[in-house]
Amino acid sequence: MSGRLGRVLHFHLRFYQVLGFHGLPLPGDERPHRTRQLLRAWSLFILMGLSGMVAVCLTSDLEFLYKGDLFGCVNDGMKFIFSELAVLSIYAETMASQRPLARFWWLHGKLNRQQQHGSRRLSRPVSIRSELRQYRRYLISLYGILVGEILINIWLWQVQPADMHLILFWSTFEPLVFLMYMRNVQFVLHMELLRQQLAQLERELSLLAEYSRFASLTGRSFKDFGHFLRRRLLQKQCVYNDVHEMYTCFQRAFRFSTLTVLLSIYVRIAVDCYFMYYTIYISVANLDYSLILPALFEIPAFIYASQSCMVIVPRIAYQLHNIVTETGCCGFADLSLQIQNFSLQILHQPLRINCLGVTILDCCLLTRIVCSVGTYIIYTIQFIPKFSNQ
Amino acid sequence: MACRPSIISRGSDVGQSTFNMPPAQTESALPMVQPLLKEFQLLFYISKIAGILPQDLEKFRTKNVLEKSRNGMVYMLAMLIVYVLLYNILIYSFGEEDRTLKASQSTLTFVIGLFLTYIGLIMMGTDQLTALRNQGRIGELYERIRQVDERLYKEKCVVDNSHIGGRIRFMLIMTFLFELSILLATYIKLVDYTQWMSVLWIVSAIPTFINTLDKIWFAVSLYALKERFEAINQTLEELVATHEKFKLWLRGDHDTSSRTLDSSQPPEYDSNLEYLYRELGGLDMGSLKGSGKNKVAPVSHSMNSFGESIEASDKATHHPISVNMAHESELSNASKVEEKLNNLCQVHDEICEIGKAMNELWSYPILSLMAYGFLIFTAQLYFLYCATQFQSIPSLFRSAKNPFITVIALSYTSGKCVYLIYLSWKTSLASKRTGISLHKCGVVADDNLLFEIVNHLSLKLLNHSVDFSACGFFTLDMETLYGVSGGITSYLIILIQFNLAAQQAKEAIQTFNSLNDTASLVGAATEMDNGSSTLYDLVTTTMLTPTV
Repeated sequence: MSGRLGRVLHFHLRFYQVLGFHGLPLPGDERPHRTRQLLRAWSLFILMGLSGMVAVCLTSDLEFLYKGDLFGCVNDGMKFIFSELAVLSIYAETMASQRPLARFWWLHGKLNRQQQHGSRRLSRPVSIRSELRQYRRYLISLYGILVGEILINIWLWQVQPADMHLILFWSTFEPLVFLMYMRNVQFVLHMELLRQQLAQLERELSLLAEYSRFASLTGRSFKDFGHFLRRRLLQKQCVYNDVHEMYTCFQRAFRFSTLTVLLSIYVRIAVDCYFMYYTIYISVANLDYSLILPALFEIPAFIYASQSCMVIVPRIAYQLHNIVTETGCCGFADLSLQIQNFSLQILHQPLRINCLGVTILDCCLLTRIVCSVGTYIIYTIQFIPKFSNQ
Repeated sequence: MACRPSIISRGSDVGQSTFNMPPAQTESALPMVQPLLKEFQLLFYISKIAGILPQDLEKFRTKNVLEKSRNGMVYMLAMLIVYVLLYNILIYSFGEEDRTLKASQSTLTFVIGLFLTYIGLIMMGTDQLTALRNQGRIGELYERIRQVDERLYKEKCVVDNSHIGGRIRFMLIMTFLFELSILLATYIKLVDYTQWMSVLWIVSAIPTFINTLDKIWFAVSLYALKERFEAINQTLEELVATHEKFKLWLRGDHDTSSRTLDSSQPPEYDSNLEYLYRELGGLDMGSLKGSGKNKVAPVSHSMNSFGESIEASDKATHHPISVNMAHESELSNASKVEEKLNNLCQVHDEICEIGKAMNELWSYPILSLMAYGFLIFTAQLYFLYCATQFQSIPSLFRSAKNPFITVIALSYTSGKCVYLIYLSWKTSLASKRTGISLHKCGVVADDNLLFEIVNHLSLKLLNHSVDFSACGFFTLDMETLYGVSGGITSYLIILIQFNLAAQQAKEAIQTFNSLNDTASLVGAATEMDNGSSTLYDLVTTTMLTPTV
């Protein structure tokens, strides 16, 4: 009984519920009110547990943090502090901003229902294979990096003697990393849903454009063709409005955690790169740094999803203006008016995925991140000889 | 209906329109359109006493207007001079320690301290001098806001000012809390309060306090603008919602069979979520959902079924004209709604203009605040680092010796800057949302005349957006934060590196000197050449390869 969500989505949302990331009841839940309260309590519980763990790590005498010199210790502590920030914002958001999330899923359901209404082809139950194909981008980024992470950990366990340090790492920082990663993929899932809606809209508009071209070339159209096109455009405007609202809901539902999760992954990469150089510099046989390999793919996975979402909007505008208005039938002034209106609407409702307005999440950001990680590594590497003689 | 009074009030004189209104209008308007400044009373009195605003106290108390005042100007200038004098005495008396410590301080720390000594004073001076310059124009600004309120009221769009007073009170309390906690904690922990001169330390809080008060004026006025934008958006959204209900009602007469079929479907994900909406309070989901369905359902998605869609659309366009009895929607009457949309857009333009004027009035204070924030944030963190390394730091920045006080001070400074940036960003976003709401109106009404109006107004809105900037140097939006935080981190790391290098050079020189002393002692006893050359080697290795 998975409603209209589809089995793949249902399974993954249930999974996010278990992690405490998705605070809404799923379709088919018997008592939605109670489920919601339970999920809320569960999120709070996980948050308390993790915060307690981070507090212990930061204050304990055991070697959770690097104790060689103060700078390394501060660096290591920063990793934990930023992860704690991320965890805090994730669970606070899960508990607090349920309305935008609910609205997002409601709009998703509404748009899907409209599509199924339209094309009868899809109204029969969807096979799991086509669902897998539909969500392949999300699934690849979820399971790809998950498998990568596990494989590297196993490899490390085989290669390196399991000392106290490794066990401490696995028991404290690894869960945080895992949660961060899962949250990241949850963003990817939402953006993928957004992208699918946009892509669908673009396809339909391109069909309209093609049809109008065909009609104007061959002169084969029917009475009220212009009117029909205009109705269609109006309907697409409503769809675009809904998709844009989905985007706003996504932004509002994941406002802070996008920022903090990306920031904590970024800090982790920067700090681990520093330690990688450090271990090579003092020639210690330690392969811990290989653990950042999966992390290196997390930010690109996110940015790829958001970029592919954002590039469709110009395509939609392009297809919109491809619609030919001179097909020799009546009512074309109206049609061109409608196109203008839609075009202006797109100008007013741009799709810019940004974390709290701080920065737009496109490939430029990736370049900037790489540059800044490089710069900071060079800065911090300069410290090493100075610290080692203190 | 609202036409006649609008002409009267527009023609009436500035500042007196409230009193000149015809009785019928006054009754309804007076309780609704209260001047925004009424909520600013507490803030005005405090600012007046502190010498931030030169405007006339009596006029404000009786009429809630800001007017120029010569006495206020003199008082304010006197206060400014007193503050500058006191601050200089503070710097002089606390600078004694610095002069004795100059030798032990690193040059870098000393220079940074010297450079930043006066930055607080500069910031305060900018605030006060700008307030002097603007004293006539600020009053006009609030008068324009009041006129906007009146015009909005005529469009049945009421702006609620009542919680602005609470907001001001909250900000004032926060300011007092932060200032007092920083001042008291520093005074008790880090100032030698056995000397009576230590009382002067209180003066160190004056620049930031005055700056914060000035920024509260800006922030609250900006917030009021944001509320006006939101009120316009809200009105447009309400138009959409009523029209959707109206359409639903129209169709409800004809399509009851399909609707009962819908409701009999098994519960799905969205029905669960609808429950949530009721739970969380807010949007009237039932109407939206129904309208969403009915709005689109008659128009089939499939490319093949043309005829069906045309029929359905004909029905939708004709009914609003034929059936217009129980339910009403303004959007169904294009010529009537044209006036309303035009008026709303004009008010929007006016608010944008007010925003620009406000930004211009406060541009120098904001620039100086941002510069102050950036420099002080970096310097405080750097001094904190110095303090952890047991180096001496400039006495004015002694709060950096305690990490806890540093955290409070940093959150106070950054809170001010970030809040202003956040608010500017939010206001700008709210002004841009109007276009979206306008298009919703057009799409929902689906009328060619209305589409023309919407297109026209939409272009107008696109060309007339409000963006806040600090003197044009940078825009006040969240992207600036990204750049600033990157800058602070980079500078901090560079400063720490210089400090480290300087410390090591100093240690090396000290070792060299002490070795030289021993060398001269040793050299007196043994052969000179041999001993000094090995010592020389030792010292050079110390200096060049720091592995000793």
